[in-house]
Order: sequence, then C-alpha cells, then structure tokens
Amino acid sequence: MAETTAPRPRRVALFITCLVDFLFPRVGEATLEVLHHFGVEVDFPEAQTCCGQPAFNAGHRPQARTAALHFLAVFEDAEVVVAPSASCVAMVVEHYAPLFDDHPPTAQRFAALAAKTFELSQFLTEVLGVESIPGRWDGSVAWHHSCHGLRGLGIAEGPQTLLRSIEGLELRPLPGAEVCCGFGGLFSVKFPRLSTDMLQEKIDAFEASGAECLSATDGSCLMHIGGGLERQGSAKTAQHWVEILASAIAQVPPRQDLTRQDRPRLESD
Amino acid sequence: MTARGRLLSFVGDVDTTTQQAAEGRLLEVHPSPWVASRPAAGEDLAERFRRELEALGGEWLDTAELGIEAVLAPWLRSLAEGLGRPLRVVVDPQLLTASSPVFDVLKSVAAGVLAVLPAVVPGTCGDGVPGTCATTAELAAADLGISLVDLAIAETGTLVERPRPGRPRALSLLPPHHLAVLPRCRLVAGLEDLFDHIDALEGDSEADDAFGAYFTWISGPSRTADIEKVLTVGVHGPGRLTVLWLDDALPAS
Amino acid sequence: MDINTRDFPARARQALGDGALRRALATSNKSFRHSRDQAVAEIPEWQALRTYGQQAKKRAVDALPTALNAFRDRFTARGGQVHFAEDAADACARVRAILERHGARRIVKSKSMVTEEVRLNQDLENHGYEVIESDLGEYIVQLAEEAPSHILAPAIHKSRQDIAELLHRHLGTAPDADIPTMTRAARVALRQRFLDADVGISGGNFAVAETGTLVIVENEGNARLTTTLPKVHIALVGIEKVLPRRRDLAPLLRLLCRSATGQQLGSYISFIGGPRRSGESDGPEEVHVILLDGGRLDLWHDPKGREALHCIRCGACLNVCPVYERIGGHAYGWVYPGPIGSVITPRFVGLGEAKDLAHASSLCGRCDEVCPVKIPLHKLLLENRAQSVEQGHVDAGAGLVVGGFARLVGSPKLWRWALALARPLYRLLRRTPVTRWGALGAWQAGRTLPSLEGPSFRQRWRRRHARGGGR
Repeated sequence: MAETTAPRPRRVALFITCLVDFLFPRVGEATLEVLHHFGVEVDFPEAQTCCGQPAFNAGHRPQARTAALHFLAVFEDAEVVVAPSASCVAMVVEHYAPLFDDHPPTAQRFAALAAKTFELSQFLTEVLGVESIPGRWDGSVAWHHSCHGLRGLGIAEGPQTLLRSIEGLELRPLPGAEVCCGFGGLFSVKFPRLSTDMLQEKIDAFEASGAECLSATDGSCLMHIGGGLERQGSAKTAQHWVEILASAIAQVPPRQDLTRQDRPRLESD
Repeated sequence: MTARGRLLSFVGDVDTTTQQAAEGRLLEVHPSPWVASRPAAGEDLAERFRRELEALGGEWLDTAELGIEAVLAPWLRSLAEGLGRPLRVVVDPQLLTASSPVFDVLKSVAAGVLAVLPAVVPGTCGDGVPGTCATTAELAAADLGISLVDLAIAETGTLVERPRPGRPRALSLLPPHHLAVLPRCRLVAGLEDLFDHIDALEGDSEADDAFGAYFTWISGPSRTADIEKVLTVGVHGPGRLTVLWLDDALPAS
Repeated sequence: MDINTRDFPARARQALGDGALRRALATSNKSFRHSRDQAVAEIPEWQALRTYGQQAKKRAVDALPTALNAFRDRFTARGGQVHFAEDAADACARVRAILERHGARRIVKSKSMVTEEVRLNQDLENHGYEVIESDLGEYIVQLAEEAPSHILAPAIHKSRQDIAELLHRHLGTAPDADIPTMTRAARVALRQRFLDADVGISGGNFAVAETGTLVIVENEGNARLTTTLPKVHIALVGIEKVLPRRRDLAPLLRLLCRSATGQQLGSYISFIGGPRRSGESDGPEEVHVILLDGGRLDLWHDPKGREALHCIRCGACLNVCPVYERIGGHAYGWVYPGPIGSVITPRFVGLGEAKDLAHASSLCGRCDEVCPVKIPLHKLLLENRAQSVEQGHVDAGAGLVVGGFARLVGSPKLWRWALALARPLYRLLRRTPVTRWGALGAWQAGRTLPSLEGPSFRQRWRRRHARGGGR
C-alpha cells in the first residue's frame, strides 16, 4: 500500500480485465474518465491478456503461472497498475507470488508487482486520497460487497464513501451485503443450481432494499446478479460503481485549464 | 495401508537429547493477549461471579447478611416441602467436620427434612479419610449433592472441582440439583489466574504435576440445544445449580 | 461412516430440493451465527486472540513428534496409557483389545468425530458389543440410524416433529411431545445406560503436551458421565489435537467456545490426566488415549496442507458457509462437512475419491474470516484443487480448454484473435434459447448472459488513439 507521503502517481497502467474488455467496455471507459478527472494519465498496455484466475481457481497451476509471467512482462515496469475489478487484482496481489514460491527471485518480483497493483477504489481513496465525487446522479443504490473486494483486499467503506458523496445519490442498506452472490466463476458452472439459489437470496435482499440499482466493484458479480434480474424480468439494474462515478462527473462543467483535445473522448460521446 | 508403526516411528525416532531441546522450544512462554472480559482490577469479584452464574441459569444464595443458618436451613426445608418428602442429600465430606458451619445447619434441620446418604455420621472412607463415601447408586438416587468448591472463576461464573479422597467425582454430576459451597477466598478473577492458582492447591505432592489426574469446570447447569437449537437445561447433569456464597468464613478443613 | 463423497453432486442436488432440510438449516445456521457474533463482539481483542490461537496450534503441530512424545510421557507417568493408531482398522482393533481384556460388553459413548471417522460403532456392533451414544443429538441420529450432519449439532437436520415421532417409537413419549419432555425422556433412558456401562468412550478437544492432560468440552454432562462412571475410559483423539502449554488453554478455550456456540465456556470442561487416584471412590481405573493418524501424517508432511491440522473443530466455518447452509452435512458424504470438511476429507479419503468437494465453494472466504485459529480455508481448497489436477483427476474437456488457454494467454496476438473470434460465438450462444443442455442450460435457467456493449474496450482504445484522444 502506498504511503500518504509518497509522491502522487501521475501515470497508471490500466489492467482492464477480460470481462470488462469483452463484455463491459463502458466500465473501462468510465474508468478512464474518472482517472482523467483526477489528473491521472492512463496507459493501456495492449499486450495484456488474462490474469489467469480461471485456470488458477480450477487448479491448473502451470497454466496460471504462464498467465502470471505474461502479466509480469506486461506490467512490471509500470509505476502503478490499476484495474476496475477486485477479483482480478486479488489474483495478482494474493496468489501470484505464492505460485512461484519454488523460485524466490521470481516470487520477489511478483511481490513488488503486488505492492503497486490496486483496485480502482483503493487507488482513488487510499493512494490519491479522493474523498468525494463532484456532479450528480439521481437514484438509489444498494451496495454489494464483492467477496474478493471485501475479504480478499479489505475494500469496505472506500467505494461507498465516494458513492455517498455524490449529490442526488441515496445509498440504501442491503441486508447481507457481505454474503456471496453465488457466482464464484467455475462454481456457478459446476454447481449451477446451488449458485442460482445463492443468487436468489441476493436478488430478494436487493428487491427488499427498495434501491433501484445494485452496484459493486466487480463485473463478475454484476453480470451474475444483473443476469438474474433480467431473467426474472425485474426493472432494477446492476451497474458497476465506476459507471455511476463517471456519470456524475460528466455533469461537471469542463475544466477551463483543459483544451478540448485533452478531454477524454468516449466511444459513446 | 501403511506399514504398522509409521506413526510410532514418527513419534519414537526422537532421541532424548533432541526431544529435550525441542520440548524446551515448544514449551517456551508466549504471553497470551490481555482480554478485557477478564475482571478489571478492583472489580467486585463476587458480584461479577453472581452475574455470570445467573446469566448461565445458576442460582445464588448469599449468606453475607443473614448468616448461613438463616439462609440454608429454610432453603433446604423448602426443597423438601416441594418434594413432599425428606430431601435425599449427599454431602462432601469436607463439609462434614465438626467445625463446618454447613454441618451444623445440616444437623439442625435433619429430622424429617433431610435424609443424608449415607448417614451424617463421621466415619471413614478410602484411606482412612473422615467422612462418608457415597456409592454411585446412592448418588443416582439423591435429590441434592452438596460440595465444597475448590476454586471459582469470576470472569465466567465457573466452579472448579478436583477429586478428593472421600468425595466422589459424580457428587456434582448425578443428583439433579447441585449445591456448591463457595467461600470468598477461593474465588479468582479470570481464566489465566486459575491456571496460576491451581498449582497452589493442596493434594498434589509432585512438584511438576500441576494439573494432576483430573479436574472439572462447571459453568451453569447442564444444557443442550441439540433439538432445533432450543436451549434446554438438565439433560444429563444437574438441571439446577445453586451456589452458597460464604463471604468470610471458610469452613475449617 | 461410509465414504460417499463421489456422490456429492447428486446428494447436493437432492438436499437443495429438500424444503424441510433447508428450513432447519437456515434456522440453525442463523442461530449459530448470531450467538457466535455476539460472543465475539464482547471481546475487543478477538483478532489478537485469533493470532495467538493460530500460533499456539502452529507451535504444537510443527513440533508434532515432540508434542506427542511429551504428552505421552506425562500422561503415562500418572498411570494413563497412550496408543498410536495408524488408521481406522488399527484404532478399532486397539479399542476391541481393551474391551476384550476387561470382558466388557456395554459401551457408552460421548460425542467424538474421530470415532465416526474410524466407524467405531459399526465395528464394535459387528463384534457383538452394545454401543450407545449419549450426546442427545448423537443419540437421536443413532436411533434414526443416520449419521451426524454437523460437527456440533449432529441432529440439526431434523425438526422437533421428526424427533418427537422418533422418540415416540423408541421411548414411548407422546408423538407430539415438547422439547423439555423429550429431553427428560432421553435423560431417563440414558441414565441407566451410564450406570450399567463397562467402558466409556469419548473424544477430546485438546491434548496438552506440557501436562499430559486431555481436555473435553461439553454442555450436557454426558462426557463427564462417560469419563467418570465406567471402570475404563478410552479416548480417541486425532494426533493434531495437541497444545504446547497449559496456559494456552485460556485463550484456546475462549476461541473454541465462543466460536462454536457463542458461550464463554462450555458448561463442563474436564481435564483428564490419568486414572483415579487412591482414596477416590469413582472415576475410571484405567484411562487410554488412542491417538489416530488416519491420513493426518500425510497432511503434516505436505507444507501446503499442514495448516488444516490446526483445526479445533468449532464448526464456525460451517455456520457461515452459504453452500453448507443449502445442503447440510449429509451431502458431503463423510464425517466432516462444510469448508473444513472440503479441505480435510479429500486428504483423508483420497483426492480422487472426493474431487468435487474442493469445488463446492464459491471461494467467498467467509470461513477464513470466522476461523478462530485463522486457517486460510479458501487457499487450502485451492490447494486441493491443484493437487487433484496434479494427480490427474481432470475431465478430458477441461484439460483441452485449459491447454488452449495457456497457449493464448502468453501471446497477445493470439489472445486478440481469440477474443475477436469469440464475439460471434458469444452472440450465437446468447440467442440460443434456454435449454436443458448441460451446465450452460442450468446456468442460463437462472440468469441471462449480458449483451455485448458494442466494440471491445481494446477496439475503443485504439480508435481513441487513432483520433488523437486520450492522454
């Protein structure tokens, strides 16, 4: 974790994650927009692939090592690595170094990589020290803790504090917010009925919360919960928290010191 | 199946010197964290013990104001009245000495109220220890077992009993009601204090054998929640536990 | 207990559809969690206490040969007897040898998971012994000819109506008897069994190396009766139950009791250091402790699995596990259910025999959070998955997919092509109506797949840069 006295990083390497790249590119764009708003330059190393978590979780360590080594080659020289996913960051932070405990020099390089890899909310609140988000977003949000965020990385209040700071946004308590939504990657494929049953508990709690939107740090949980809501014909939505941040920030008048060309341009513009 | 003796050789292939060195490391002192649930310095231990005991469903008989006779005698009479017959009691021989205040009360209420098993007469038991030695059958038939507590832990409302010559282990276990006589001097603050005090208890001559062959902790009445997690008392051990608090006097031993 | 771990997926599916079981589990888990959370909240130093517990167990388990030697030396010095059993058959044979020497016929037992593990009851009954379980929950499942479904509350899968009917048949209580009535009836029925028993058999929670003391924690008093009334007491204990010093007991008992039932302490805790002493009128004349390997040594020799031996069997990980809460203990197919079961069962019965168990977890990590001795359960589950793959327990299809993944993940060019190729395939998949077609059908029955939001992030990034956007 960065010290508060450390120089504020001006440039980060974006680790986009497979799910965001493939299914939720707007989450990636929102990430760019938010980082730009706080004056951070973003590199996107195009050689990046997958962090290897699916192979690792299935027990295929050699293949996970291949992915880890590739990740190291791509990101080792970055000042800071940031990703809009707690799950993929937890893979890097928690599991990479132990995968190479048979080769301490490599493990050490992975430990150094882990020390500068952050989930987006960690980077915003713990590294940049962001305390509030300007702009407005009208609606009510229920916060779901992703397991890897809450228990893997210790992300609890950070993202909620930022959401709460947005004008017009009402954060409603979600009973059992810390309970797993039942996705678990391979788990939901191996035990789809068990997984669906866990999902139902989450959806029931969300419906009862009265919030219009469920938000979280992870596209995987949101894909799962959102897919459940859609299957049941619910009018409620599941949305990545950074999209909410970006929407709010988009309401802020453009800063005078930026030329038009400097402003981030989004595909959806 | 593995060859017989794999575990035995795992344990046994250690020579004495290696064992002693390794044991030295294993038994090094590691201070355990202070836990705030332990009574604070100056906290009234009797009050804490009473609170914990009652929270566990135990009952507290305080003799501080009225004296032991005025508290214990009517209590015994009311138990007998409730049964509609004399109360069958087994008594810890330590409480049956001529100088024991409990003994005086038992004698005073005996006729028609108490049927002490065996009779309250100084006798001998085991290795010539004065007292009475109740059989398991007598214990199983008793309504009330009365024992003198060896130590008690205020933090958790726990009574500690060690086996003593002439006092059966099942005295506090088989009768449906257990009356534990607790003098103030035997009350310690927290769990950690107990492990210090137990060394000082009489009965263990071997210097290095602090724990001895047996002791038991009793925290409240016997309970179970095995059916639908519903708490029910008195499943195998006593369903009632009463502590007779002696604020100053320790029955002479 | 028979090993039925191969049937886990089918048993889990069946349990998931059992409404009565689901209701019983939901109530009991909630109650367990509530009690535990309250008891833990009373101790602000809980995390420091957990660290102490973790380290104390680590000291003892890492020095296991020393600790076991020390325990044996101290325990035998007071006249107790210590045996080392390699496996289930060895443990049962040792128990029978003791019973034969005493001409014993009637055996009373208090709760012990190790005796379930070695199938002691079946073994003894096959040899003509009369064995009765005395813990109320164990007694109930024994009458019902079932196995325990929870480490602490063996009959938690049964409703009070189920139990009332069972006791009506066996003890003649009213078919709608209330819980106190049933409890009293069991007390009366079992009391005579205690008085008649020749031998008492128990488990043990801790074995203290420094003092040679076996510690048994309970609430009912049945373990005290089992270890007090019969002339012979036999305890079956896993070799991992050692603690270094007696002063470790204060923190460890706090951790165990609060995590297990939310109590400060169990109602009765017995500290057994050997047989009765001269002058005592009761207590066993012979005390045997049988220390069981049963797969533990293999686990000990695996540096990546050894931490599983730190477990103190509090059951807290079961009570927070969303999978256990939905399927109960029987689905796991052996003695130890829940997260700790999925960690140790495959190690004791074979990874191939129980390969699905490690996957019966979304890796949500709530178990890690409550474990009083900080066992990293989700990492140990991952370790089991990896070792299972190393031993070749992989579906052919999964092997192909993973092999392909490894080729792609190391090559940015191939990765890009694969993702581009995946887009039309994904669209096709999304349009496929919900079917009963394998795992995908079951997946899609509960949730839709999201639609693609136009071009991938990579493509968008490239376009931004082509236009000179971004910074």
